Amino acid sequence: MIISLYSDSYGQNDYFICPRASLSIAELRARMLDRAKVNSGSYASGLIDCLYADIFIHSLDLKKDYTDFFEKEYEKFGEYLRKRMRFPREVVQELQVAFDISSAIYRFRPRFSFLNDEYGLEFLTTLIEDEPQERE
Amino acid sequence: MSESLLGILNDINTSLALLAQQIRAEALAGFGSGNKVAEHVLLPVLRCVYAAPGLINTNALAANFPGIDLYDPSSGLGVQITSDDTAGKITDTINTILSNSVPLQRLVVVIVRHDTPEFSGPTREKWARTAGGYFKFNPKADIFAFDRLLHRIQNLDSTDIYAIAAELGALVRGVHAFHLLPHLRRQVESQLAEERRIARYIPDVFVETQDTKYQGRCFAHPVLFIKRIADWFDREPLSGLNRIAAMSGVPPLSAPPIEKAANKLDEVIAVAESAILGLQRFETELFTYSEICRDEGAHIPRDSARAYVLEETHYYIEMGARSLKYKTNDRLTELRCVASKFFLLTGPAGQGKTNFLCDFAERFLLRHEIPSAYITARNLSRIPAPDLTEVLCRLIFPPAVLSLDEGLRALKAECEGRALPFVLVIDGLNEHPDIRTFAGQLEHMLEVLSKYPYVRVLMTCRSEFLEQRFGSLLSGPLAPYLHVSKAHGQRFDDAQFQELVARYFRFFKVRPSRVFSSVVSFLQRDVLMLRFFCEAYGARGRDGAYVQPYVAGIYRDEIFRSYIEDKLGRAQRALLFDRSATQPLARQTGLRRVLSLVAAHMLETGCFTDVPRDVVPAELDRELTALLDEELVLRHDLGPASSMLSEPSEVLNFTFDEMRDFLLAQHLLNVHSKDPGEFSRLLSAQQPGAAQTVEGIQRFLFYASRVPNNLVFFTEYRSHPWYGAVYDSEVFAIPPTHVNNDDEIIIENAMSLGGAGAISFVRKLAVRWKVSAFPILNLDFLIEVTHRLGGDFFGNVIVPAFGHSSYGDESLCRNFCSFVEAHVLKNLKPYGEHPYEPVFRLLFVLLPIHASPALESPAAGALRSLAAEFPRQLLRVLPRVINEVGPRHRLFLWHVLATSEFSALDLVDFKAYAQDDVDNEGVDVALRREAEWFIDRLSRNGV
Repeated sequence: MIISLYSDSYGQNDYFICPRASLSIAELRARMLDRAKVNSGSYASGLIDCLYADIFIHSLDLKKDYTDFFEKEYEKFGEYLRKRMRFPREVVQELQVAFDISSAIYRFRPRFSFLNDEYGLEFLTTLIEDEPQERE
Repeated sequence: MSESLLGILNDINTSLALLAQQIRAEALAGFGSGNKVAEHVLLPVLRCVYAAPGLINTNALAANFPGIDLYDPSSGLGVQITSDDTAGKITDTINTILSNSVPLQRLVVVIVRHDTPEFSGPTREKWARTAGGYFKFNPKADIFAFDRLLHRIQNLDSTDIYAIAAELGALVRGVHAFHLLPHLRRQVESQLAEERRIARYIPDVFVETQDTKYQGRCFAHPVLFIKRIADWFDREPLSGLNRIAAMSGVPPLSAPPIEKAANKLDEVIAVAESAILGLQRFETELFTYSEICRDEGAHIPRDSARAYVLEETHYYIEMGARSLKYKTNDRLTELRCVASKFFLLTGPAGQGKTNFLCDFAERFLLRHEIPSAYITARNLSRIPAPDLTEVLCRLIFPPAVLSLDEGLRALKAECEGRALPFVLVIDGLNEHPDIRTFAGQLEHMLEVLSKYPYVRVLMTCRSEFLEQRFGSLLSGPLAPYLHVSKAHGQRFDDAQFQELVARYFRFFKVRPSRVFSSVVSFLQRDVLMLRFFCEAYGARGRDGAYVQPYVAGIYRDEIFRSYIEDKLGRAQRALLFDRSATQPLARQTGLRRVLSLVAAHMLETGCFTDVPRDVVPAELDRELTALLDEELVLRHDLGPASSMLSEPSEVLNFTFDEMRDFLLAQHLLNVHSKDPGEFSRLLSAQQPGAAQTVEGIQRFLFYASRVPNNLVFFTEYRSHPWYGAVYDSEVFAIPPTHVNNDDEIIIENAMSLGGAGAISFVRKLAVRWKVSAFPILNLDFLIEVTHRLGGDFFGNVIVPAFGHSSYGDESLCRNFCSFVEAHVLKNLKPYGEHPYEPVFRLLFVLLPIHASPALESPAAGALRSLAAEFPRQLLRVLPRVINEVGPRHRLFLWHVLATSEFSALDLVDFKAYAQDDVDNEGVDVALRREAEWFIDRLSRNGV
């Protein structure tokens, strides 16, 4: 599941990447490279690799952050999102649902502008979303 | 010192002294069991002192064992323990032993008292002679009380000393049975409940200032949160910068590692201290990267073959390094919190420091089960003792704990076992009434506490007092252990402000349904007024019979009056509960007198700040302290020093400017009731230099004059120039019950003069559409005046009032029509009574405003929507409207009626009016045409 949030007045998107399957980091990387259909060692492969690292290594996993550090302080994940992260209510509701069904919730702020808006969401969905994999 | 031998010996001394005292008290009371207790208590001690592990109580050998209480069969040591310190007792003991042939090698007599009694030389010689051939007995060495016992204990191995201390602690004082953690938890909960009771803590209202709270987390739970700091570095924050650096032929950066495996407090502190040094070096390196193409960055090696890339990328490297430096700096601050022993939150009044502490204690310290205690500087001031550590011990530990050292040592194992510090919270350092003395005492106490590695202190202090009074904390020997965090104002979005108001309402039991939405909107922008408002109108703390009135405006006089009454009651209660009070209890009159003295000084001097504290005489000191206690009405500040060499003096100020103006007006009102001449003198003495304050006093005097109970004052004051000066702006700021028909006459006259004043009145009247809430000076009144004053008034006042707007804003007319669409249409019922009749009538008045050549306007649209959904309700008002409106409005009226979804039969009664316009040759052609069209519509429908 990918949830999109316009987080600032500059139109910058925040994405919440919520993988449902408990895949390892290496499996997630392999899945992204595979779905992007890039040749190993190519420039495109490097770009996808960067994107993978930006999401799954450099981004904060909100679910882990909550369970490791804030669970005692905030009774519910939604409370943590609302009070600590100051997310809007509608996003909090979606993420609360995602919390129960996802193995992690990465808060990803893209560095490339092409990843914003509908195109960006579609692009990320193609590479990351669980469901296409499940259909296969 | 906490775990030093000296501390342990002190501890043993305390236990022995307590034992001696208890047994002596029991002996005096005629109870003989004291000696038996002493036998049990001293047995393990004497086993160590005489290296006699076989020493046992003789009761275990035989009942009524002769002469001695303890006996070691293997060494032949016998001990008599007695509280009787006479020579006869010792003589009897020796004789009994001899007469019973007890197989003794050595006799020791322990006297249960603090100091060893002196016996004469001949007596000692006689005892030695008597015992001589049978057992060893050296009266000089073998008769002793607790003072000499302590000397012998001192000569033992430290392991034995610790063991004796533990035994004595357990047997004499029951320290083994202390349940400190549950006690401390109850202490924190009880203090939080008290803070909640006096509304210094409003749960859930605190909306987090992330920086401060996060720093607090790192400070209070370092073992957990250092892992989160390390997690941040694990997410490779340098990767982006290093990627560009690699492309540009510049060496990559690497952040210092932070050890995550540390699971003990001391290990974590060591890791943090090492990481701080590493990060400081790293920051220097980052700085050079942020200046890579300038002098500072010149020494960074670079690959000349990739210089062309660096030429293009240096800006990104510099920006990336700068951005990273900010983030690293945050981690550095967090690490400093991890390593600090003291955390001081400072900021100006009203930033929510207390609410933060309470929230932090409740939601973080208690939920993480961090051993903690919560006190305030005011608590500390209420127990008179020169040593703050003693006061602290009494405040946070159970009575069985005799010293702070003892309590803190008892916590050591708990803290180490859980890898948690003990966090002592001290709120409001500046609220201690004797700040000068307190500052020194506090420093000493912190020095003591700094010696316990697992103890941390979290404090708050208003920033104005920090440098002046607690400056030595910032620069003295404790400075390296101290982290200072500055509280910033809250930055909320609209939704959070709404949430804030809702939570305040819930806490203070304010019924939102009885508060106008305009009032709620105002309160969202003024949190301070929100607090006053809630205290004035909320049901919290009031009896069950209280019914909250409908609140249609921010009536400052009413709000502040209610607030002050409540605060004075609270201050009086504070005096009642002050157990240190030695004087008779203060009454509200004393509290009022303090306020009056401060106000009088301000009015006399024309200086409305920094009233010298000595204005309040010494006999009112307790009342002053009570008022200063919460700083909700009056606060003490540091005034300017008279010279560079002198210390700043303590001065008094009212906490909030509007509150000050209110209290000054109340003081003047009292002066007037006693001496109107003095009242006039004081008013005329006010200088224009203090214009803002004078304006404030004028406003509150106006409000006071309109209170029905102050009729005498009103009668005289209404002719004073100050009354008229604020009338136009303030008449709408008093409760509707304080307005009368004279006001309508004054305002109608003012409106008839036109101009900006009239436009302002119109706008204020227009929003008072709810006649039940505003029986006088309401929308009904505006509509009547509009019709009475005729066409010029409509053109010169109504049109600009409703039709003009500032750039970017909607006009009042459009806002009104939106209100009808969004609110009235949703709440109106098809039949029955409703409060919107004035709104309907106003819509007819507004028909020409923003109208197109086709006679379409926002009001026409709104009326058409009403006609479609609630025709009956609109028809009820039509007869009155038709009789009120002039030809200009009838033109639009016939157009709206002709184009609305009314049934023709419903409109038949108005046909005659339209026919009049058709028949009247003097009317405008357009009006006649619209009237004809309306009649034509009726005709086509068979009417």
